[in-house]
Amino acid sequence: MTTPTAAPPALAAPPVAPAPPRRRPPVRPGRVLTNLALASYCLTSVSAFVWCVMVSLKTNPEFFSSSPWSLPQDPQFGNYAEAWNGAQISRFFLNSLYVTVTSVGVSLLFAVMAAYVLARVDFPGRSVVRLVFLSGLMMPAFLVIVPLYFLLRNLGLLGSLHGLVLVYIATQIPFSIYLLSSFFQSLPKELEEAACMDGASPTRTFFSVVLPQVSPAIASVALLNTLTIWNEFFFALVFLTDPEQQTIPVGLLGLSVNAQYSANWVQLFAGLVITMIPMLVLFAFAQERIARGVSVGALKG
Amino acid sequence: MPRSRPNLLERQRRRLVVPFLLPALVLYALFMLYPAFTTFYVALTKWDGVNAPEWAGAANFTRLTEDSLFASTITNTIVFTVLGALVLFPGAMFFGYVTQRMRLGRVYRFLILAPVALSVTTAALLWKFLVDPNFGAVQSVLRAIGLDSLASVELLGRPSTAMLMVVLATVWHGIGLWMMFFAAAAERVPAELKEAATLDGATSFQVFRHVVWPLMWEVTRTLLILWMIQGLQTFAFIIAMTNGGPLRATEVIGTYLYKVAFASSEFGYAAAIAVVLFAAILVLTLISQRLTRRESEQY
Repeated sequence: MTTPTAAPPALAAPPVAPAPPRRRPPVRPGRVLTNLALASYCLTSVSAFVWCVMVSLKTNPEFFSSSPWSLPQDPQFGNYAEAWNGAQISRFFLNSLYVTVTSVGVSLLFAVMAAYVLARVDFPGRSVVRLVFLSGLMMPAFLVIVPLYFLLRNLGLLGSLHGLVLVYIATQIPFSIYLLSSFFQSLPKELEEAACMDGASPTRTFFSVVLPQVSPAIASVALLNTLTIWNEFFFALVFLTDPEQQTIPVGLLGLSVNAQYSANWVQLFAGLVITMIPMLVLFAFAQERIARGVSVGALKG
Repeated sequence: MPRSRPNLLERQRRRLVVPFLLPALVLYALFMLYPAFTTFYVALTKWDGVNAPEWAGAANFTRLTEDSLFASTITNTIVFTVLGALVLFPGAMFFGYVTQRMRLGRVYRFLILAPVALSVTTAALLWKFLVDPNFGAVQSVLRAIGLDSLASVELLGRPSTAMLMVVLATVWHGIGLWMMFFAAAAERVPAELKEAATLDGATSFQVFRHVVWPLMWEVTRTLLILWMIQGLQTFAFIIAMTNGGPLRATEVIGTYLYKVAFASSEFGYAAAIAVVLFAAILVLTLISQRLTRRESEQY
């Protein structure tokens, strides 16, 4: 609540009726304390990040000799180039990008199709199929990991990104279907009926009449899945053993172990900063949507 | 069941069923359902992953009841979950409630939410290094504010403090989302009720305590169970920060299962652990569904 800022009278050409005088809320100690608590928490959070950036700009000897909070004497932007090329961050990055884009894309396409049929078409066995998909919502990764490991080995896909993509497609399907089918149910049916009357085939109706209507929902689900897959750790840790084929979360862990031996910490920190940036940027643009999607999923699920 | 004659649209749509359902169903069945079911079989065998699995009946499960290491991982998992709830819930509730009508609320929310975007490894490593006794930044802060005794403690190297550090890092990473859950729940409380209480002279804490909280408790219960389900599966932060150490003080069910399977190659035993874990999650899920159903009846 702010007190209405009084416009300079000279500028207020048409005399606006003065806003009814609002009492400024008295300064309450509770409010001050609340702000203090919030501000100090956020400050801690931000300074953790700032610390990481500062370390990434130091040299290794400086890192060990100087105080943790000192500014880098001569910012070493070369650390970033070194991390990107030398420490294989670029390789991890491309791997993560490939895995995320393909698995989110394919899984979303399949899930949208399935969700549409499950929400709109009345066919025998529909409730069973729906239940089968939804049961996947409570299957922890631990439950599938052992047989999945051997399944991938037998298919010759262990250690390869393609195998991981297949697993990721499958794991995203239950949640996507769950969210999307409720969106489909809320759509009015008239447009589809009209398209049908005009002689459009059901496939055509789906792709050019139905899909455009649900595109906001699809965007939400895609964002959530992107965040999940980009950060997925457990499957990637188990399935990807070759450093050439690792995604960012697993690759970073390997780098942190190496850093302990080679004492090349600044490079690792540069790597950490590089991996933080794309998701933070995505997040800054889509914060509302992500938060809303996640809370819908959690509160209903 | 005699149906009314399906109209043209309905008949046309039925042709979509198989081609639209099949791709999702096949991938999901092959890479989720099939392994999930197979786990129950593997749990009844002794299997090193090289030779064919040997039937072992319930041997893995009897072994679990005698395995003191497994018992301590259960304790550690419970400690993690309880500590986490004690830090996470008051924090998330506070953030969610107070940022709602604040001038700077959106800024605070953004900053509190931002760590969610970091990968768990990034967040875990960040905190691991922050508290590192040799170069960590936390130690110098502790010294600056006069807590020298705490500053010399190797926070992740001591069994008594390691778990707390892992919990704090986990909560820091995820608290933004929980804040949003609570904010969403608080928004469902009718504004008139709050206004009426405020007009009657209630302080904002009293409004929260007597008006908002009774209505929010329903959601909080469900969220608590959700947190328990997540707590049971905690894994990444532990692997990245302590790898179960020191002295197995942070070994939880998930990390134990991972090591039994992929370090000791006892796949039957690992599958048995997975089955127990799944059973616990199933029970929690059923409880939460029952609670949710009752809740929707009340509203």
